[in-house]
Amino acid sequence: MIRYQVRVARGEQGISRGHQTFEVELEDRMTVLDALFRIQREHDPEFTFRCACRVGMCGTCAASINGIPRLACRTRASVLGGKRITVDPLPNLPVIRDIAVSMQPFFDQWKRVTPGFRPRAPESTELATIPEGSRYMRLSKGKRDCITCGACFGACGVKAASAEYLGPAAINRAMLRLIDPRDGAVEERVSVLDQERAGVWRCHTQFNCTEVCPKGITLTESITWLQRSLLRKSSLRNKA
Amino acid sequence: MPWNALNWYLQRITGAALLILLIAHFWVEHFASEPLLHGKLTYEAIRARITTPLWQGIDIAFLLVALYHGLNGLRNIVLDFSFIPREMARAVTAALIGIGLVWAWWGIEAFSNLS
Amino acid sequence: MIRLVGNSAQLLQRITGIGLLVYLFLHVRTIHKLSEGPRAFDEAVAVFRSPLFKLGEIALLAAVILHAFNGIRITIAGLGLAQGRQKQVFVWGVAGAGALLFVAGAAPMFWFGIVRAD
Repeated sequence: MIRYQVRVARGEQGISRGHQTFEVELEDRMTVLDALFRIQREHDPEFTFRCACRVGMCGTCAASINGIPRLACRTRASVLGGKRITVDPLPNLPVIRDIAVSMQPFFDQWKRVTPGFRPRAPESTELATIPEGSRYMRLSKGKRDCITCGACFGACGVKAASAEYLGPAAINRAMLRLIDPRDGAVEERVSVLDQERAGVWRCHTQFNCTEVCPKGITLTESITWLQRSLLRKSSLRNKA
Repeated sequence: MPWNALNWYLQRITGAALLILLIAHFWVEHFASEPLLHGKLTYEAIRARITTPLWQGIDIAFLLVALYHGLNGLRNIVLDFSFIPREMARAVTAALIGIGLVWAWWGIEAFSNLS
Repeated sequence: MIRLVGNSAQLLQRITGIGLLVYLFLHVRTIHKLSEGPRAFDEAVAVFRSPLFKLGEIALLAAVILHAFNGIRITIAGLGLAQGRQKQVFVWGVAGAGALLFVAGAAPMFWFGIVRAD
């Protein structure tokens, strides 16, 4: 058992009540999420945070841990180096209570890029396939696993100043749909991505999103790929 | 025309051009010029170089490229803050274009006075 | 507060960018003085000889190096290169190489411009 000082943010509906520090004992391989549960069980049952799967596949427990957005369930307390752990709510999102944030702004932007699949030939009875060795297969590698946890949204320095900016996850999603040979909604996505104050042009290549993504998605690469592609929009319209 | 994309590209291209121009500028001013090398920053020494048409051309190009890069960079900072209303951002763009034109004229005028 | 290197890079890029724009203004002003004749020029140039100005020149060198090296990083990343190795590029490519070039440039500037200035 190792004793940790866990400093957590308190507050509700945008009103901060500062931080509160709790003493928590953890086994060697326990995570920050375990620490949050211990606080709730042993110290304050009103302490609020969110989680669901506890194994890093749902993306619900993302929080700012020692100043870096990451999944609480995938972050072992021992790897943080130190006996003090600070847990804050994910930045750039409104706080509901303590560590729990509303994902509303994240999904508002997400919806803007037409995230769902829009078949190019809805009436076709043939099976739509993605050919082996196609552009989609080449470019989508490592970019398909987004769990919409919002870590990139919270880490993004541009998002910190701009409510309008789409954010890395939505842009990556738009790229995946744009390079999908079966999808037909090109123009609506291109016009959203090409906006000067909300689209890809606001990215300043900080790599914060790539650094924090728990799924290892190279988000900055997706954004810069779109920046280059938007110079010749025909390269996005041509699905072949 | 994909204006936003072009603007994005031009910022990078002018950045690369500035790097080359700056190294050349710095080299000529501080190492290659005989009187300057010996710490004699005199009116005549500078005037002699600055009145040659080739150097004037390079210096004016340097000024114009630097102005585009700098003022566009400033505009990008403004666009990053979404609390600035759309109309105000547009006014800033117009103002920066105006400042750029006056600034460019100011610099070119200095050269024309010299020759 | 987010503790990631990208934030500092962007903040420095903005500050040095604004600083360089201010310097460009002062620089054009000096060239303008030059066009007003030897008297006006000599008055303007007298300021350049003060140690404080020499320190300012060293700060200018730092600003140029930071802005240029981070700009090269942004351009390279924008071309889709060196992705996934951003940390090494930040540390060695921008901070490391930039610091090396700065020391190489600033040392003679400090020595000949301030310590042994006549």
